[in-house]
Amino acid sequence: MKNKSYKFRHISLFFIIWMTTVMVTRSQESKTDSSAVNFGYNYSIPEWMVTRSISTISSDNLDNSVTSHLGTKLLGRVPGLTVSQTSNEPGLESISLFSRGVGTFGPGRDMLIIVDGFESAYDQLIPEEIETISLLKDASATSMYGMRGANGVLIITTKKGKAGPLEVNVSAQTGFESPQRLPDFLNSYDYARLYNEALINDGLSAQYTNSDLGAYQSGSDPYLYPDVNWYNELLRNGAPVSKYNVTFTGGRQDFRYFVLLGYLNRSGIYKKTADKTDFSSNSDYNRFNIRSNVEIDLSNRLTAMINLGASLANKKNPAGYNTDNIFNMMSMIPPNAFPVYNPNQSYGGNSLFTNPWGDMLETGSYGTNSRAFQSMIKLRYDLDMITDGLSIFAAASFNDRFTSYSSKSRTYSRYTLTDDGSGNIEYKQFGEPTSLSASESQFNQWRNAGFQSYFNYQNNFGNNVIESSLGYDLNSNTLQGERTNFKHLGVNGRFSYAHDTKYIGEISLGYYGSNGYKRGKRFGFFPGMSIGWIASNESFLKNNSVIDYLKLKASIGVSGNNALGNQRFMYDQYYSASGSYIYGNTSLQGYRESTIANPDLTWEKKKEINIGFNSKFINTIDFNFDVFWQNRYDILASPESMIPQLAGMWTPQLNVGKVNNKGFEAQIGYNGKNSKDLTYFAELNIWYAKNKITNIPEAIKQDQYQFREGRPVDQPFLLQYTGFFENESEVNNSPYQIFDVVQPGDLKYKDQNDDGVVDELDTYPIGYTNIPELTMGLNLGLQYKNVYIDAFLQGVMNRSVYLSGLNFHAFQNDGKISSMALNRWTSATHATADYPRLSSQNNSNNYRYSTFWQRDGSFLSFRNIEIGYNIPNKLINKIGIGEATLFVNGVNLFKFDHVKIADPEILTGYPAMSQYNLGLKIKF
Amino acid sequence: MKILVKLTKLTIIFSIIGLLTTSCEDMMGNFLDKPPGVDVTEDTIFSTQINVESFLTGIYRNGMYADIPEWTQRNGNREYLIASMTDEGECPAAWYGCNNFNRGGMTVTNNFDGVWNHRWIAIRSINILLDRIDQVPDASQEYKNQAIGQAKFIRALCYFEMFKRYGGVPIVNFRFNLDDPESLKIPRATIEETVNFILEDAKAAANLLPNKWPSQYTGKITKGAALMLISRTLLYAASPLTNTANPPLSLPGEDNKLICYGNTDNNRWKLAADAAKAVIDWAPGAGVELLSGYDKAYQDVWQIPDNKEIILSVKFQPAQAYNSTMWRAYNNFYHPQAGLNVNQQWVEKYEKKDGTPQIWNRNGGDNLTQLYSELDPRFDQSIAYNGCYWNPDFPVITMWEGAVASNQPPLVGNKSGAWLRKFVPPTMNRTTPGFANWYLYRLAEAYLNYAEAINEYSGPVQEAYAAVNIIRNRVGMPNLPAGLSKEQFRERVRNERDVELAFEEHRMWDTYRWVIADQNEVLNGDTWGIKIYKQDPPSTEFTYVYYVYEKRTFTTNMYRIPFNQNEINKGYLIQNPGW
Repeated sequence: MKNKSYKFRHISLFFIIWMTTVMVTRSQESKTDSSAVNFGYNYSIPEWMVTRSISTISSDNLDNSVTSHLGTKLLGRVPGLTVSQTSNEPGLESISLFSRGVGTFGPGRDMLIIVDGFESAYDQLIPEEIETISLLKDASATSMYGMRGANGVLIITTKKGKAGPLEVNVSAQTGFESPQRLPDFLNSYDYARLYNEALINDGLSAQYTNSDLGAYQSGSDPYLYPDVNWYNELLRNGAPVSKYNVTFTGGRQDFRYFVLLGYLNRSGIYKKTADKTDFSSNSDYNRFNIRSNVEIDLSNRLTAMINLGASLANKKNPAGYNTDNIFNMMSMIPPNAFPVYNPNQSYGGNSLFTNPWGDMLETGSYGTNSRAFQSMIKLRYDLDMITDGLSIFAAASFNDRFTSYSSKSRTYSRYTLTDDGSGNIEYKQFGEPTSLSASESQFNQWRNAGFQSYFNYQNNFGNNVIESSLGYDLNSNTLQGERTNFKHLGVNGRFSYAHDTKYIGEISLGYYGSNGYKRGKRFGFFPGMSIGWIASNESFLKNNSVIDYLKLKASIGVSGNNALGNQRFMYDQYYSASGSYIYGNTSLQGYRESTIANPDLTWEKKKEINIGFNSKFINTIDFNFDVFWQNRYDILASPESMIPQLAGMWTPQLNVGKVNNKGFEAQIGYNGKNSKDLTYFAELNIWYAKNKITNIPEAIKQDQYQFREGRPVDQPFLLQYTGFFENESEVNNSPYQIFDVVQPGDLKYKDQNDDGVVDELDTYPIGYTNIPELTMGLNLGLQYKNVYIDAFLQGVMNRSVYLSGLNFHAFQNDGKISSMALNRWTSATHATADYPRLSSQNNSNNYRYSTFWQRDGSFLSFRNIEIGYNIPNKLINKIGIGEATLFVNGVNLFKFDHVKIADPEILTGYPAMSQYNLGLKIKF
Repeated sequence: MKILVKLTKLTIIFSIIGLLTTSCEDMMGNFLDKPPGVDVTEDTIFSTQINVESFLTGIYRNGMYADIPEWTQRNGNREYLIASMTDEGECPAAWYGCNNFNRGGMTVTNNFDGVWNHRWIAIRSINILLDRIDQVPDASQEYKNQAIGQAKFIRALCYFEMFKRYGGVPIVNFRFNLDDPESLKIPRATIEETVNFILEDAKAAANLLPNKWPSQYTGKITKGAALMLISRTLLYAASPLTNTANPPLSLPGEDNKLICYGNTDNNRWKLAADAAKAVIDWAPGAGVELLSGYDKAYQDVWQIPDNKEIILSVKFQPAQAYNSTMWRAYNNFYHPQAGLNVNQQWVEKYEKKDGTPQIWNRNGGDNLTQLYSELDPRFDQSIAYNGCYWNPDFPVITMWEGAVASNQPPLVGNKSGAWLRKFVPPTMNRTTPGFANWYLYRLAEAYLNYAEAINEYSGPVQEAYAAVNIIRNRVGMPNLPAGLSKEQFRERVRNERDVELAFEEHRMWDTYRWVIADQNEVLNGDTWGIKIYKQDPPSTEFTYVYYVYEKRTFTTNMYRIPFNQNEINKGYLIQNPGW
């Protein structure tokens, strides 16, 4: 036996030199500061020892809004995490997360999201089940994630039980939400008279007679001269929302649990239709969340942790799985096309359009059912018989998300009313009424199975602290529609050493392989290193009255990004089906060569340097600052623009692209206490990232401004609007614009290259992308006795949005006209006009991609304000309640922006909502 | 229990040690290997005849070209007919891209050749096929020969399409690889080299291809198609645009040979005539002959798919509904903003049934129906005009000012006074889709090629008259008057070509090769239409008034299409003159 333990000691010493770290469950016995930072591999180290760049928030920082996507609560909250929301429909919110801006122009820009140590879907989680959310920003923090970490890693840790008596938390809130802005289209009278003007501008004759216009204006005949505002007909003013949760936390010394049950409901903004007919349903979203996180000490060395979480969501809509079609129709159908109902109570409609109200009432219901499931089991075994502070872990996880679609749909008939003036009324039918037909065929699935095992070593020797870990990790992702899973396999570890709580050094590494690459080129080494100096513990600052805490840190590291976009296995040459040809009467499938293979295919790499400091002054002010420089290289790009087209090939993806990205994060907080009863705080987070492409294969261009190199990723190139053409002679004396015949009132563009012609070669890099370069989050709070107020504002800058489509372009594609076109160019108003002259036909000049339609997308949004009252203990303790809080909150109340005609984040479609809630939280 | 725990401990530790100390790649590499799948590699393609056939179908798909306006890259991203860019007609609405061309809007970034990229994809596939066709184990020699023949024809066709637009183009008859990027920069070949390359491929194809395929393969390339390509190529090469030392715009020095032969050689016409004769001689043996002998024979040529006169037809589109992008460029009576307007100056080309020109009064007249009724039968069988029959849904077409048909959708007004009838199946309506047959080659063209070439070579000899008269007699038109001079005969045969092959994508390239495109009322200048007015009863006649509805622009540099600027920037091409 002694020989064996001797061997163990040698081997384990060998591993100690490599690295190990301490598990969070040992933090109870740790001799360091109790506040700890979680790193996803379920080890955490005390906050003072952290020298990498990580932003952490706890779930207390998340607001009490009712939302079906966790990402909406992260807008502006986590420094370094830029969140972009482009859709607000319940259940279908579309959120993109970026860590330190966009660092690559390649196909893969998504962050890695880790929940409880394994990759998982995160949008279905609710704050009540979350402990902390951390964003790993710099390369030394993400190097342990190997080639999955370059875009940043978001680590979400769910709550754990704690030993002690059962604690029950119940919260209930209810409220309603209403649209912030809806498109403002003109009524029939304005539509008709402006359409006449547009026809005359085009050299055609007016369509609406004066009596027509009079009828629209007076509304005397709503059937033959209808004036329908579809938004008023289909949408209600407010939709109810509600959220209920109960959590149970407690445990004995050897058994700790956390259980959560939650329910939320977010109704749609459509009017309720289910009670009107059999063929419809209300627009609704309901979700249940369940979680059970349990820790069991099986013996005094072996601990098991079992986390199970699930969510079941049910979404129902009339007329489509989502609201896109209805919102599209509402922005397309002219107000005078047809009335909602004809005099004989049939639905109005014509050959081009169905009746949106009829669609909602008569075309059936569409249900989407989605389930997310997370499971994890982790075992921990203390190896302190070998050496103190050593333990070993093994964890396995299975995460799944499944969405299925079922519908019962039908068609109905609509009628056009015509009256030939002599009393003959005719109804022309379009569409046939059919019976309901069911469809349950579609579904969508994502699965992740993973396994990890690692050693942790943590110990203190005198005034030296060592925290380290070494382990291995493999996982396999299955995506709907992909025949082959996405697999990763690797070893990772880190070693942190702190001396005298003043000098800190850390090394981390990941050695990872992925199945997206050719054998022999699969594995890569990703190292990271960081150092820190807690200057405030030095003798010259130790008793400083102003500086309470000052830590300087610097880090450097390499991480990778292996997202390959749509095409996988590009290292082998394949042939793919490519169209068909008809001989005789049969169609045969044709094949052609696919993208040319690149056997040397490899992943993007990112080198990053991060320098920063954390500080605390006069016991009330926190000031944290990080500045970073990133250099991303080996980005996949196709040299298509450099290879002559006579090669006839789909050019291969080569690792030739390079992007630089730099910026900073700053965090300033103030905690004040005026008296025993009054405390207040303010916290301002600002972060900024600006990137620049330093190498991208592009063809030689004749003018410097046409190159993408040296500009930000996705820089828009547009024609530059210089004014309206005022008269014919100006048209004749200006450079020739090839897009369409121009006349006075049309947009004039700049001839950037002075060749006398305005064409695609005159597009110029102007404006920003729609991901802001600068984000700001301001959190203000105040508590006086039992009342508290909490407010949160988010602002973004250096962002551009682009207005295009039916909501903004007047009369194009047979659409209608919005109020932004009222100030259009006419010969009378030309001095103050801000919209081109109207045209009834598709105009190829005025609605092109140009700066005229680009807008400054910066905004300041009042995201959340909450006012609450902590009911005094003496009132509630009698009934056995420990704490109770009553609150009201408002979410997304105001936005200050430059767009005004539409929401700057969600330009079209399901509108951005303001939400008002009343709630009660009780702790037993 | 204690031993169990210790054992578990040991197993865990040793397994971790074991995993970490061996090479990750070797041991766990299998975890990351790609499982065997159903992906198709090049070897799979050339392993069986059926697979090669799919690859060949892919070559057809990318390489065969048709004027069908389906708005994909195969037809150059066009949703309009080429006929809207010539004096034949005008597209139905202002937003179609052809309007830009008519305004002289051809630039180095928009050269109206959207098929350029597609041709090269086809050429690469062809080169791969020619490389490896011999390696297919289960293919007979006959199959291999036919595959080579089809591939070479398509390569020749792609080069012909480029030749007629750009002049000389780089010759690529091998498969590129990216190891040596400089090898990709092949310079333009001269006109002579390009034409010879086309002929070499087409002649090889003609030797390998059958006269006719079994009916389930109608649409595959036949020997006659290869012979027609030879005939057309030689005819174009002998025409004034290339058969000269002074093209409309010249390139300096030797580069001029990229766009012209550099000399005028009458023998080139002889070669063209011989090639056309070869088709005429080949036709009877393959069952190809002109439809004739009855009134609507000319109409049946375009109405009956795969009839005896068609040598090669392209139909890569399935039947489409009346309101599809494709049919909107042709037809008009079922969909707003649809239909090709036929220009009045084109209508003027149709002679009277007695062989003399029709008398149109440009100041207007009041006997429109009379004038229409006197015209060449091919007028009624190609064009729809006021008062004609279309189909049971529209038995009488009404086009006078103020006419409103009760069941017609709102129409964008017809500017020119006539609609295109050719190609639109009369059976197509709101419920029945239409199948588009685009025929690349038909026998009538061979006769016209022959007549033109022989006239240029040796004047209007008896053979030339005979060829033209066959075409005229088919529709019942009388023979050409005897005793014409070479120049007069040239004008007559050109007019015959215009009328016979109207709207079939010949006019555009004919005006280019005859160097008449920049003349007034051809692709340049006045574009005439007529406004029609119904006369008061009891008269059943209609009054017509001429007007110029559009002034088009064709500049001299447009005779040679510019290469796209992106390709020029890559540094291997010499741009055509004037760009």
